[in-house]
Amino acid sequence: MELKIQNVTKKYKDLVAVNAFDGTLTPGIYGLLGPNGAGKTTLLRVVCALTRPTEGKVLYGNMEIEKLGAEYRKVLGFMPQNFGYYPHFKTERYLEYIASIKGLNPHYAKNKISSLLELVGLTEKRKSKVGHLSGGMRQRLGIAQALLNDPDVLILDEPTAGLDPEERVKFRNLISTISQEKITILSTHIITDVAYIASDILLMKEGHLTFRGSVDALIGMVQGKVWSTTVESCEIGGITKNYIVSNVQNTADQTELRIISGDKPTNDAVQVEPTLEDAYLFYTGEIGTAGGPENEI
Amino acid sequence: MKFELYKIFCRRTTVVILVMFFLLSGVFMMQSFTDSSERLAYVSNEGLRQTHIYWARWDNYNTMSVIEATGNLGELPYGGWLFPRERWIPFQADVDSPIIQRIVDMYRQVEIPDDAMSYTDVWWHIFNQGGNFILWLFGLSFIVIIGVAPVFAEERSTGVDKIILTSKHGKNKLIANKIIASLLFATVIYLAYFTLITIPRLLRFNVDLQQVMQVNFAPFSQSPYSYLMSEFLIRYFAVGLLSYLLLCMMGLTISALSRNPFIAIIPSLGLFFVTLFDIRFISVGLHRFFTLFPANSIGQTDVWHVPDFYNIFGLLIDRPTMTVIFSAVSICVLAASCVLITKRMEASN
Repeated sequence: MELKIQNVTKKYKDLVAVNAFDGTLTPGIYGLLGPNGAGKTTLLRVVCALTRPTEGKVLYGNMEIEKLGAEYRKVLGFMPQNFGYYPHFKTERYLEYIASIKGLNPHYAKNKISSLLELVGLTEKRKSKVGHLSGGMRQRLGIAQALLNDPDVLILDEPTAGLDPEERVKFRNLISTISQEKITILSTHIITDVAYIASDILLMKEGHLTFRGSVDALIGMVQGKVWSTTVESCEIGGITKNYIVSNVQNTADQTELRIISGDKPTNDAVQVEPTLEDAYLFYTGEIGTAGGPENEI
Repeated sequence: MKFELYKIFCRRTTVVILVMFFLLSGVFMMQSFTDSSERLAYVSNEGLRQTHIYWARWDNYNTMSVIEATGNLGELPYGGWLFPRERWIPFQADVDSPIIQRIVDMYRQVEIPDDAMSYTDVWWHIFNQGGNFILWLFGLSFIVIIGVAPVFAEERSTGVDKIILTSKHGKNKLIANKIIASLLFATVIYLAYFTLITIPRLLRFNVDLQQVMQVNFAPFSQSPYSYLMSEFLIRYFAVGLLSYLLLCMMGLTISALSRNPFIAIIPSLGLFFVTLFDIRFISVGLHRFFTLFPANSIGQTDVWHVPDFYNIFGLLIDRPTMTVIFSAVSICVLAASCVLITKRMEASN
C-alpha cells in the first residue's frame, strides 16, 4: 500500500500554494508541519481529490486517484480543518448519514458506529445533538466519521485545533491507536501533536517540502545550533533582529533567550539540547521573529 | 435519501414556518368552513339562484360579443398578481386571429346549468375568500424557497461538503438525492395543503363533483373554461404541483450557485416577487414571459383568465399533455443545471 505524491504543484492564479511536492508514503503516521499558509491544507485537498493539482499527480497503488474515483474514496478517511457538521443532527444519526454516503451496509454501519462511539468516548452522547457537543467532542466525532469505512488512507487536517491540553493528549493517543497499518497524514502547526506519535515528519514552507525524516533526524539537524543566553532587557531587540529566537523568558532583572543559530550568538551563550520546536523553527522561522503564538506547543 | 429529507424537514427554520403555516391556515380554513356552511343555506333560495344564473349567462354572452367584435381582451383580468387591475391596458388583438376565434368558440360552448348556484358557490367561496387562498399559496411558496435554499449552499457554508465529497458515493449520489428529496419536500407540503383545503369540504358538503361546473367558479362567467368541478380540481392540483416543483428547482439551482444558505434565499425570493409585478405598461412581452413563472401560474385563482391564452401556461392548462411535457422539460433542464453547477464547483475551503 503506497501513496505516491509526484511533483504536485497547485497554483491559484499567481499564488503557488504547493510547489513541486514529491514523496512516497507507506503505512505510518506522517506529521505534516508548517506555518499557516505553508500549503498543508492545499496539499491535503489534492491528496483527497477535492481539488486537481495544476501539475503532477497522486497515485494510490500505482493508479491515479482521479481515475480510481470511488475506489479511492472507498479507502479514504478525511477529517477536514473546521470540521463541518449539521447542528440539528444527533451524533448517531450524523454518523449514520456519513456511513450511508460512504456506501456502508446499514447493519455493518450500525455496529461500526457503536464501536467507534465507544472508541472516541462518545457513547453517552449518541443521542445528543451535534450542535450541543463541546469542541473536543466534536473533533472526536470528526475522527469517528473519518474512520467509519476503516480507511487505508487517513487524512487529519488540524484535528487538535482549539482543544485544551488534556483533550489534545487524549486525541493524540487516540490517533496513535487507530493509525496502525494505515497511511495517516496528520497536518498541524502544533508541534507536540506529532512529536510523540509521528513516524515521519513532512515539513512545509511556502509550498515546498523542506524536510522529510524522523523526529530524531529533524532534531539532529539542529544539534549544536541551539543556544541559551541571558541578556539585559535592552539587548533583546538587537538579538531578535539577527537570530531566530525560540523562547524568551523573563527572570527578576534579566531575560533568558533560547537562540537557534549556526554561530555562537553571544560570548556567554551555552549550547543546549535541541527540541523538535527548535528544529521546526530552524526550518520555518525567519530571523527577526521570536517564538510566538504561531509556534504554540 | 432519507437523510436528505430529514435535513430539509428537520431544519429548525423549516419546522417553525411549516407549523406556523399549517396552524394559521388551519384556523382560517375553519373560519371559511363556517362561512361556507352559511352560503350553503343560499342554495335553497330560488330567487338568488335565478339571479345568479341570469347574470352568469348575461356576462358570458357580453364577454363573448365584445371579444368577437373587437378582439379587445383588456376588460378582462390579465395575469400578474400585483397591481393587475389598476394597470389594465386594453389589449387589442386581431379579431380574425385563431386564438380569438378559439376563445369565442369556447365561450359559445360554455354551459350554465339551471342549478348553477348550488354547491359551486361554496367552492367559489373556498378558493376566493378575500384572496386568502392566494396568500396561503404564496406562503407555501416561501416555505418551498426557504426549505430548498440551503440544500446545496449549507453543505458549503458548514464545510460538510469536504467530508461528503471524499466519501465513496461522492457527488453523483449526493446531487441525485438532494434533488429528489427537495422535489419530494415540495410535493408533500403542497399535497398536505391541497388535502387540507379540499377533503374536509368534500366530506362536509358531500359535493357532487360531476354536477358542479367550474364555469360558475370564476366571477360570473369571464372564464371560457367549462370544466366539471372534479376536472377542475384535478387540473388545479396538477398545475399547482408542477408550479411548486418548478419553483423548487429554481430555488435549488440558485442554492447550487451559492455558498451561503441565507444568500441563496434572497435571489430566490427576489425572482419569485419580481415576476409577480404586472409590467404590461413597460413591456407586454416581458409581462408575458413573467406569467410563465410559477408565482403567477399558481396565483390564477380567478380562474385562468382569457388573456392567459397568450402565455404558455394558459395554453397548457387546456392541453394537459403539453403541460406535463413543458413542466417536466423545465424541471429536467434546471436539474441538469444543478448537476453541472455542483459538479464543477470545488469543495469549500
